[in-house]
Amino acid sequence: MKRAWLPVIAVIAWAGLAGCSGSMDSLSAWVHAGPRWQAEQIDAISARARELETRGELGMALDHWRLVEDIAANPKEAEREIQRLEEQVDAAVRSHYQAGLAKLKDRRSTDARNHFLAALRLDPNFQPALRQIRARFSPFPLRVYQTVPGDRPASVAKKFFGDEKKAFLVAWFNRVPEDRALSPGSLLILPEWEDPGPPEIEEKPAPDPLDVAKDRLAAGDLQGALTLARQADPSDAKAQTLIHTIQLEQAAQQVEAGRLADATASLAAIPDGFEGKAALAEKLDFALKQRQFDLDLNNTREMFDQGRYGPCLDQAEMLMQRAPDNPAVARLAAEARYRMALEHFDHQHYREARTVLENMEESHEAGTALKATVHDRLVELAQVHYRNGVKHFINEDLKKAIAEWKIALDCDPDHAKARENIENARRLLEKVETLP
Amino acid sequence: MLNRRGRIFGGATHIMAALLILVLIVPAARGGQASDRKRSPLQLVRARQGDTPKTLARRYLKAASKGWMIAEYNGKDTFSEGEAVVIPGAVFRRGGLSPGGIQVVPVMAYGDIGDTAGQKHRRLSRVSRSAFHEQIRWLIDSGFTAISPDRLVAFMAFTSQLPRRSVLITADTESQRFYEDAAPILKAFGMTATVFVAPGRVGEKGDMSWDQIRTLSKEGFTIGCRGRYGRSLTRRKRGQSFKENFSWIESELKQGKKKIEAELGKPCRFLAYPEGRSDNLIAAMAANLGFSAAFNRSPGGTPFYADRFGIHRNVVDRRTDLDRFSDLLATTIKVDLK
Repeated sequence: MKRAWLPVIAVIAWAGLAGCSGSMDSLSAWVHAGPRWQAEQIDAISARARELETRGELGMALDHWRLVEDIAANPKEAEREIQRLEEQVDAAVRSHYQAGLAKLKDRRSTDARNHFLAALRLDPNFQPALRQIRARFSPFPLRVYQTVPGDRPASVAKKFFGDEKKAFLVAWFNRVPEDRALSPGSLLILPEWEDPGPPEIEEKPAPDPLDVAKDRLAAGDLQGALTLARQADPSDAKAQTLIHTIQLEQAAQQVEAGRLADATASLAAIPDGFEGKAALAEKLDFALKQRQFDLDLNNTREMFDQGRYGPCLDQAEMLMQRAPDNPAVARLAAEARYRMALEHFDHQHYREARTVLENMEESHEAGTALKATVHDRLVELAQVHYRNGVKHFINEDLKKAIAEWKIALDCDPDHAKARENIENARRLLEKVETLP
Repeated sequence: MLNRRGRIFGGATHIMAALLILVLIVPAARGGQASDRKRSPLQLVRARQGDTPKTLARRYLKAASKGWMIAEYNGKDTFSEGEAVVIPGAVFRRGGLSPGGIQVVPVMAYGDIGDTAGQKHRRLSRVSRSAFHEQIRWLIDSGFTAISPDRLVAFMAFTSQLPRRSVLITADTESQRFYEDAAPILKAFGMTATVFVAPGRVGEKGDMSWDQIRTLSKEGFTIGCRGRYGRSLTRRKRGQSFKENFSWIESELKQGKKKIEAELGKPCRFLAYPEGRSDNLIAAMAANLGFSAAFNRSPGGTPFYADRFGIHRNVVDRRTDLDRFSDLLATTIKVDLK
């Protein structure tokens, strides 16, 4: 009775083990994609096989029919299709192969190749076609030779390379002594090569590293050129000259690229008096000055942007002394001058505005207009002060009258009456003061 | 009672036996019946939710990298749940032969790749980092797969097939720039390349060290040889005899190969002829020295039957814009092979 339980225990154990090992997954797959599901796919696979055949994919079509044969309950149709297709493939392979041979005879090698390839496509195991392809269309640099009695490396070399002295080639390729007889029937490996005779192209003597460095320099590879040149004997004057030439070129490129600190360092490595150094040093100096000028100009612009027109104008005027023809600086100075004068004008400091505008460029339209306005206001102001002076004169306060007229004259230097009255008032004042 | 239980378990034993017959013996009998016929290399499977060619390949072909085979065989790369998918269990287009033509593999030859700060003049052979990035992105967007030379050689042996749009990327350089600029781009796009180095130059200023080359090798890059010092093998020195020149070529090839093998601890199977030039004797020497394939520098694609010791490479330099680059990447010779 105990034995009777064994199958049940075995089934439970199997299910448990299968679950643990993941075989249940396979079991699930077998249930979902088992024979019944596969049988349902037969029509689709058969249709696909026919479609592949239409496209000329006979091998793939055959494989599909073989799949149908494997899974179908009744594989009769598949068997018929397989037989038909196998016969068709066989016939096509033979036909292509024969056509290939015929094309070879006609010396139409490309057509021949395509026929052999077509045969191979249909039956990749069809060795005659593969042999043709390998032999005629697939070059290989080695060939095989079977020795005959009396062969020696020298005689084989004479036979294949036309020169007994090439015996060392036979020996090298076959690892045999150069001076011994070869046993008949041995297979030798030989290069598929014919001696072209004396070399037509001869290599130049090993290039001088300095020449290579010069080539690198010419090609623009400065770092490579410098590395090569530095490998030369340091006491060699030519090497040193080349090194300095490269450094000079480096410095020139660094100046062009605006890497002025690097250029200064490169130039410092070149001894004074080296050809081209002075000119490049001058260029570098100019570039450095130009850079400083640009920095100062930027600072001046910043002052302007911050509304610090006074310092901006002072700085701009200094820059104009360094670069009188620089239009950007001139424009900045004129604009600063105008803004500064405008501030004075707004605060009714017309005389200060007039002072600032004295050097105003005529091309600055707003500045010129402001200059005229300031002038008009000062003329008006002069007249006011003139009248004030007259009032003081009438009140016999000569000192106050003179002060007012002086202001009037300061406002309008062309005010003739103010000038005249000042002179008269002074004389009168002198007389009054000299009276006993 | 005992007898009743005995009957029940006796019945269970019979049921188990019947199940065993169904599970084990019937399929065996079916198989036995079909043993005289050629079985299909295909497997019919039911796609699960979220299945892609890669997941299917991982499940049924034991390698996600073979996903392209499933995609190409079924003519699609997306599958819905419950859809019937055919899994090709073997090569189905050996040598890349199809009714419409012959597959060719474009091999791209770069010189130096990367940027050098502050260098005004660049050598013609140097492709900038940005241009290289653009070219690799184009390859990815165009559906190209970067292959190793091992796979190319297997393809040329007419034993395997490659993804329809396969490309072999090569670079003749030891430059540090390849390690710093080009390799990260390739890795970011999941691509690989073959780097042909001249061992005599490794470790020089601006060039990679052996540690860096070993790192590349471990990361899946193939390291090939460009001779010992990368000097042209086709130019004979003035006054040098044929035999002396032969010995010098042998030394260049043999020492270069040996040094790489010693440093990497694995065979060095691929040669790029220095400066891209060779002749039949040099090719034969390369074959005899144990190289599996050798590459020159002349335009054209590589069909399976091409010369394994004269594989064409399309040169990419800084004049190569994307239009020209795409022109170099033809993958089919159109001929009627029906």
